[in-house]
Amino acid sequence: MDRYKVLIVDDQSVSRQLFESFVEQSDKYELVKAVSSAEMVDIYLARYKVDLIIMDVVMAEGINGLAASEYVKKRYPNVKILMVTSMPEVSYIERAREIGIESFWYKEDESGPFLAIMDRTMAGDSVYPDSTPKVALGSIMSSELSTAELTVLRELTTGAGNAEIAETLNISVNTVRTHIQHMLEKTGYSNRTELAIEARVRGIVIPD
Amino acid sequence: MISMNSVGPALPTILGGLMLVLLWGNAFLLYSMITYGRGHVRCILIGAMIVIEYLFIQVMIYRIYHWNSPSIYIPRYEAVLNMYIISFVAVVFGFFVITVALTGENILWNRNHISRLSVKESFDKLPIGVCYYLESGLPILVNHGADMVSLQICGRIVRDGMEFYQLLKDAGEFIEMPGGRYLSYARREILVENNNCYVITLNDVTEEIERSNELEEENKRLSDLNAHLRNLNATIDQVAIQSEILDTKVRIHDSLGQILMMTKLYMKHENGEETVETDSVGYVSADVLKEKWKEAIRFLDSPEEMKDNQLEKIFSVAEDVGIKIELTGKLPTEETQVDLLAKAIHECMTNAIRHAGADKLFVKLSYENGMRIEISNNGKQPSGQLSESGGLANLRSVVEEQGATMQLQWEGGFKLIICYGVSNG
Repeated sequence: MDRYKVLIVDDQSVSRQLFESFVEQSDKYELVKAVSSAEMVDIYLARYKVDLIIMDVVMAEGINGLAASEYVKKRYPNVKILMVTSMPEVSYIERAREIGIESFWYKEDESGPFLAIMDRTMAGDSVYPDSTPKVALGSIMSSELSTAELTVLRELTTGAGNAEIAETLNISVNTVRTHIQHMLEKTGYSNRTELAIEARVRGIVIPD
Repeated sequence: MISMNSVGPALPTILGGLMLVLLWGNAFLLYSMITYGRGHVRCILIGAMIVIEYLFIQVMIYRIYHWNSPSIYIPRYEAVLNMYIISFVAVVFGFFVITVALTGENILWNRNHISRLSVKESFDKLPIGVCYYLESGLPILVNHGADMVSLQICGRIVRDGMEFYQLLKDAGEFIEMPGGRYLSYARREILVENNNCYVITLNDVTEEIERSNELEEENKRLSDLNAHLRNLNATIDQVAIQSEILDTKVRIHDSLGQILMMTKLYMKHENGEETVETDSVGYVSADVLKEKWKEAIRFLDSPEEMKDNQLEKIFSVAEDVGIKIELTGKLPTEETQVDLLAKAIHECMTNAIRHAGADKLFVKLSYENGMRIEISNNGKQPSGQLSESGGLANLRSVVEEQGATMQLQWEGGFKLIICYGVSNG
């Protein structure tokens, strides 16, 4: 039986090494390439036959893994994608499902072996975590923020003012102000900058 | 009946006193009426009554004191005299009663009506300044507030509405008043009895200005914070990525700890060739231990990421996928040109591999008042002109966004030409 051809796309060498070791441990898989940029994926796909891409979401440069996956799914619908990330950004799972990405895995998830998820993905299963990892944000856990608050927080991390956020999200400035006030009260942070930085560094929200 | 002979000095005194009381009573009522602000006609009417009363009283007193004067006509019959006195008293009382009735009615009227005096008084007490004036500038109604503003800005009360408005405009958007108060003003045109009038209103906006200043300070603070956040945002990605790397290294460190423990147990075991059991990792052999050590060392020894520019990255990928890039001309250094060239090579390389089966890409660069890029490949020639879609269409968008032009040639092999800052002739 032919082994599944795997392409690893992750901008961190440590993570690439980790995934390479997973692939090398199994007889079912064969590593095609481990590359550091999602932007170049189309070139590798043009050159090599690939069955599975292990794709990181957040890249230091160029397009992110979600955008690259969207391109891959349009051009190469038969190539399966296993999305991996260490960021608990809640929107990633939702967007991955919309794009049609087969499976999703958090790097910190130690509940099951990664190879088993690769196997299930190649067997036609769609493996997604039940929820995003819970991360502390001030005096609360990230899961205690509402979807609307997270949406405002995501815009806040871009450095946008209340009026800009209101315009982007098509809501009133007062609503934006109220959400930010509620988040400050919940988390205990003293100002919006602290809130935005902590949320971004912890990966709770990541602007595109 | 009163006899003239028995009148004596008491009667004139009593009558005179009574008349004075009535006079003062009427005068008091008149004063009350004016104070309540009823119309002028009634005041004149009551005033006339008092004058008539006064004349009656004067005549009465005169007649009493000159009773025996031959030059004055004196009725010879007591009855006539008595009739005269009774009539006199009746008339005066009648007037008094009418005055009381009118005053009472006046008080009732005032309860339901506002006099001009009241209007002016209320107008003056308004917390805002108001000035009505005709087109000629003639003030019709100016309240105390407007006069105070006029005094503040020009040292006199409002004399000309147009001049007052001009002074307000010259003073600026807000008028600063003593005590740190600020007024704003507005003028509008109204129609009063078919005459065009203007009304200037002056409102106290001190609180609004204070709030506006506070809001401005808050906005400035927010703006500074947002700018700070934008600056930080550029480095946050790196912080997050470093944090992610650190987490991974911590995990590797943990597994390294496990390997060390396994090795220690293995070495302690009397029979090193046999497998040993540990609490956490199960059975291991010397070969497994060796593999785990190699793996851990590989992780720890992994090089840090090198940041290439776009062109270096694309050349590296080309080498990786077995495409040789034959370059003619000097590579650009200007950022936009580098970016355009990298994107063009990227797209052409993908298509050359995918559609032409090429293994060489020819990139020709020339600079004459700009940059001209020509890219072709050694793959099979296209059967004809292909539709421009997907990657090529995206590339055209990027090229045209930069003000450059893109041309595709199909005959004699595919060729892409981009002209940035030069004509593509």
